[in-house]
Amino acid sequence: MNINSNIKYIIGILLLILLPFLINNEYLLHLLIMGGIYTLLVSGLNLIVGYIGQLSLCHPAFFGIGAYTTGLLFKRLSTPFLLNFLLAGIITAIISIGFGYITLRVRGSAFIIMTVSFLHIMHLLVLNEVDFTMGQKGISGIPNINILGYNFNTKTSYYYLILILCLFTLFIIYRLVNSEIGRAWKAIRDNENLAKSIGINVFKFSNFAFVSGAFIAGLAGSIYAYYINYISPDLFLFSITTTLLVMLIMGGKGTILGPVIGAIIFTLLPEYLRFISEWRMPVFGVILILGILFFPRGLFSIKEILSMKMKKKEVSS
Amino acid sequence: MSLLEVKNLTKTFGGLTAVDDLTFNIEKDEILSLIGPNGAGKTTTFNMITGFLNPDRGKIIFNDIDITSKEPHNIAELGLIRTFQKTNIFPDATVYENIKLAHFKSSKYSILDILIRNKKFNKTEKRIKEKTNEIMEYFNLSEEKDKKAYNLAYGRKRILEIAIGMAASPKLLLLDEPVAGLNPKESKEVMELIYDIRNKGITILLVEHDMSVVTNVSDRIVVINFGEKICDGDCEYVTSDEEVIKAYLGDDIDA
Repeated sequence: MNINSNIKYIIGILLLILLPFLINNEYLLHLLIMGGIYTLLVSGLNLIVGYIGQLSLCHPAFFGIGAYTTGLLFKRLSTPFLLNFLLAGIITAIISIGFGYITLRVRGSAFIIMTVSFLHIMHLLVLNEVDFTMGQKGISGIPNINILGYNFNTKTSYYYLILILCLFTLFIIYRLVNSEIGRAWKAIRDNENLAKSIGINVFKFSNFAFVSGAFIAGLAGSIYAYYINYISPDLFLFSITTTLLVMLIMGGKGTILGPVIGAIIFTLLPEYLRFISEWRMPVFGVILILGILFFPRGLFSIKEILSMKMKKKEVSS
Repeated sequence: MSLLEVKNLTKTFGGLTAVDDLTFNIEKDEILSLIGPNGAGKTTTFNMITGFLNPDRGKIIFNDIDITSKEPHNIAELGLIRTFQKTNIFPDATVYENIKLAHFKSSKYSILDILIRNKKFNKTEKRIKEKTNEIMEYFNLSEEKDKKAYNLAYGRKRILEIAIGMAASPKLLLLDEPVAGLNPKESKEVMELIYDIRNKGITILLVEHDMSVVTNVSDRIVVINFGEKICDGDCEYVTSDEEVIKAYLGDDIDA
């Protein structure tokens, strides 16, 4: 990273810090918080889909497990936030290690089917183990976050918490991707056999990406439970998988900022299309189709496409 | 002691015996060619040595370590690096990235090193960069450094493939038909390159079905046919062997 781009990032982060004062709009702030939670989810999903190249459809399950860990810990044991938050991540990670250990031995369609099944099994479990999870009723009354006496009772406080979490996560992902680990991931995605033959343990590195993504999703689920104060089995619905994949692919998979752009735009867009009432979803669909048609590698590739066009012009002139 | 010992290796697919009781060895610093007509079991042997296939019977010993049925990445870790018969590169990465990726083995650091980017991390990254440039220079790929690998001409792809193998710091480099599909001029270039690599102290096992390609560079040739070894010796001995001639020309020619 050179100094020039450092300045760009610093200005961007400053803007994000000042944003709550600039917009002064509770509703938009709420959407940005949700966009932040989606950023965490999609960035985690990106590790397995974008870098390893395995289409995992069970990512919402890890989000839900994190949320339910938090909700149940609070309901049954009234444990404090920081403990619940960490345990949500750790328990989710442990479950994903077990699941990844079985499923990551296969690639492609077999893996995809197993992940769908896992999502549905988790959904049914949460729905039917009424004594343990409270079933369809969900868990309500989860209080706001309280860290050492400071109560998160405003949207602004949640905004900053999510912002810090997102920046921290993206920073770690950036460092991982630009290292031996990221190179191994890309090698596996591009050519698994060749990756093996230069000494990369494909299983180990796939698992690491999968578990890291699940861990992040678990943490995001915990924050979500505290922020919305209510969780239900709907967190395990396949429609959330679809949303996450739209965000990932439209944003740009296999890039670091792509998931961020995808998460924010596709949280805001459906809401700001509400003015056309019943036409909202059809229009949203058309936007998606056009988007993927013109930017098959995601919105994040706009810069690339533009610079290529510039080059072409230079050549032709 | 031989660098690689293959003992009584056998592999059957259903009722077909692809490799039958094959025994040979490779001495350090030699170029050994494994040749045989199409379907003789060369690539199957290759896949068993590198862990991509498990043998039914037999033993493979590399550098005094039994590597029979080990995982491919473990075998690569020990310094036994292969290329593939069908061109195998990282197509979406640039030439530079391809070679950098292949340095995986020589970048050993912990997650903590990666996250805080300490001295060890920076030093290793710098070394890999230098080594990558060195290898590009050696294989004459520097000019195509930023080209995506899938954009390279076929002959250049095959060179890149060998460069990837070299970047993985091999003790023994296994090349599966490295000149297949190349024109005579390109193929001569690749063979000279292989000869030069050997002179850098890297032992080479070459698989080829065209005998004329390997006779100039090989120190020793092992000929197999229908999964069995039929001849083992230097070029002159092998090319005058009756069974080899039979295997290549057929034995039912009417006189």
